[in-house]
Amino acid sequence: MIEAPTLSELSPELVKNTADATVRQIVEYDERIDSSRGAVYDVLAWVHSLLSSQNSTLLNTYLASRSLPIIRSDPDAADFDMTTDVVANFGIDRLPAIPARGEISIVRDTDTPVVIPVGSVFFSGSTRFITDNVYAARNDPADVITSTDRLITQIDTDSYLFTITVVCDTPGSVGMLRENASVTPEVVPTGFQDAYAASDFRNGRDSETNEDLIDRLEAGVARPSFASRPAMRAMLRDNEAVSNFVNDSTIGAGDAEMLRDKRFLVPFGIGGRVDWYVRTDESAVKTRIVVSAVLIEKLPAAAGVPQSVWRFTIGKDDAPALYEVISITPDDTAIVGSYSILNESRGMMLDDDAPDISNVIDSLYSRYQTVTVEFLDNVTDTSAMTAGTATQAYAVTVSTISRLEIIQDSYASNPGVNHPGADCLVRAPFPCWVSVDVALSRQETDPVPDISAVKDAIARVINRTGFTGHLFVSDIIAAAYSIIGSNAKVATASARGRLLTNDKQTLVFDSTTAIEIPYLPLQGVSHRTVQFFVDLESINVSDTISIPTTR
Amino acid sequence: MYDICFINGIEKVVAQPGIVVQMDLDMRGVTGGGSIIADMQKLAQRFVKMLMTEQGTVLFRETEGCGFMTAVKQGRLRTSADVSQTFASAMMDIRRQFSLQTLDADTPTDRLQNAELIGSSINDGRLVLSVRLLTLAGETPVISVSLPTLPRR
Repeated sequence: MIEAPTLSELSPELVKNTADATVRQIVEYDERIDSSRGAVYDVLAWVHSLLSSQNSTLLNTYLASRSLPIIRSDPDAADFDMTTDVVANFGIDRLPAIPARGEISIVRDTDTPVVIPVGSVFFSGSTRFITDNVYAARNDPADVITSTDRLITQIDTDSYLFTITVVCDTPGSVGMLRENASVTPEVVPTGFQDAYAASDFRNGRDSETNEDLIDRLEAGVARPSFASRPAMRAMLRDNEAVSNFVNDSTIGAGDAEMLRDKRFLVPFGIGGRVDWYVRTDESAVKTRIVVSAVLIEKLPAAAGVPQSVWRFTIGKDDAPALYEVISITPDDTAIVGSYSILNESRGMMLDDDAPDISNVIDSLYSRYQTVTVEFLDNVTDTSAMTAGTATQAYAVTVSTISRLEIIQDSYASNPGVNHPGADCLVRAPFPCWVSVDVALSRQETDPVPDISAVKDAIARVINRTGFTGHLFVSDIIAAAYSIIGSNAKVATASARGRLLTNDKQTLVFDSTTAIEIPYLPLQGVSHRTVQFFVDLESINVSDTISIPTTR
Repeated sequence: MYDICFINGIEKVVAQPGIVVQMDLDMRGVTGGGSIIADMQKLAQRFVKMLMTEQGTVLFRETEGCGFMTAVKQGRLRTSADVSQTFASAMMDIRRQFSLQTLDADTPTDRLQNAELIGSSINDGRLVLSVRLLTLAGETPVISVSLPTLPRR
């Protein structure tokens, strides 16, 4: 059902042009009429043009929404509700916006128990987050009984932390807070010191745009199955949990990147194996997990500072498709930075339904991957501990691609769904971590550019680049111009990339024109397996007034 | 060039001094609406419309009008001094808009040189303004505008 636009939603240009056209017609009837002001223009023509413009806008919106080819040609012009109706004729409903949810850490100067009522509000800017339950923070582990009881942990002298779960008040990606993003409570708890996102928020998704909906319809024309690449993509679009995936790439028989079908007596690929690279998140998701580490070795103290080597393993279900271990800190004490990682090795953990995985290279960035890490702890006093048996909890922040295990378990490893003649391994793309420098230059009289919006636009274009193996700096510049318009110039722009091959070689790129992924299929690297990732902290946009003002 | 009358009484505006033409803004008992008007009648109608238009109320032409009716609606006009002060302020906007709307083809009679408030009264919830217009041709028609100051149900 299309609703007529309100008068204030009309285009001022359309209203004026309609009024001008109206008085031209009147003047053609009698040229002695004063047509530029007064009753004819101000009262008659202007009011007529408002109503006429409302009708023509309504009609144009209808015409722009009446068929799939027309909606496809200009999805932004098509009416939201009518597009929903048109696509619903083919049995596809528009996916609604979903609110983001996540954990908030609350730091106080006391460990006295406190209750955070349901409906408590926290702000990040103007975005509201609300507790979905009553949370009771307890200082005695024995009192932590239900899932909404939270243990208060001392993290520093006079600093105590507990976490609660909140849901964004506004459905959509607006609530996708990044780890450590500050939030402010509406009602401040006793002894309040700080509140911030404990890890990246999840699930927040905008309502499908017209373009997304048409894409999904077209993909859905292929029957969701393992029959072909479009059909596999249709499977993703068919599952609400992963339908908002960003990109995918399927490596199969005959592809040089396919290593799993070349391990037989004859030295060529025999087929029957599929590596399905799926990027489900625009940005890699930072997640905080708590691990139990084992003391491996007690080292001599250095300048009075205790030193010890600890080891922990992240299992396949702890952080599936883990990319990197970002930081390791004590679980119950705050330290600045992270303990040093000494060694990291990838392993695998298979189950009965797992595809053919013979080594850690096969399982890299899949849900079957495990990661063992050794690190140097220079805080814990281990004098009373025994190496090999002493354990301690640590908080580990990792970056992952989420929900790959859903695709693996629901489709690729599900005997009722998967292809009977092929085994399929779902993997996160090889990440090329990108950082960007953009220098804006403008005249003193130009308005100050919205740096935050420029960063968002650049991140969007990088994180949505398909499996092309090319990141063009010109696309980054175009993204910047989409925000700054003619109010500033992009003086310089450059991009750097860092990529780890499957044999642990680090490839580094630095360019003012384009990052081009090399073709190294045996090392897992090609345009069909690599995706570019950037986070806002890695985008540096400077703004200088260096263009002289025209006199 | 001529215009169409939409304010009762405008068609009676003449240049003769001493004749005050009463405007009927209540639009009841319309008699002159739709008739052809020209010269100083057209000028007087544009002036009354501009004086009675609240700035910001014409969609997409937010600078049109003046603040006189806003003051009336907000009950800020209690004495003749209030009316004079508000009228003088409104005239600044009206002069500017008349200037912007001037066409090369306008005759001196079509052009407003000034408007002077020569009297006002507030009685029984009605505000009556007497305004003398001065055209560039030197004509000085006087109009009287009466409007309610209390909101009607």
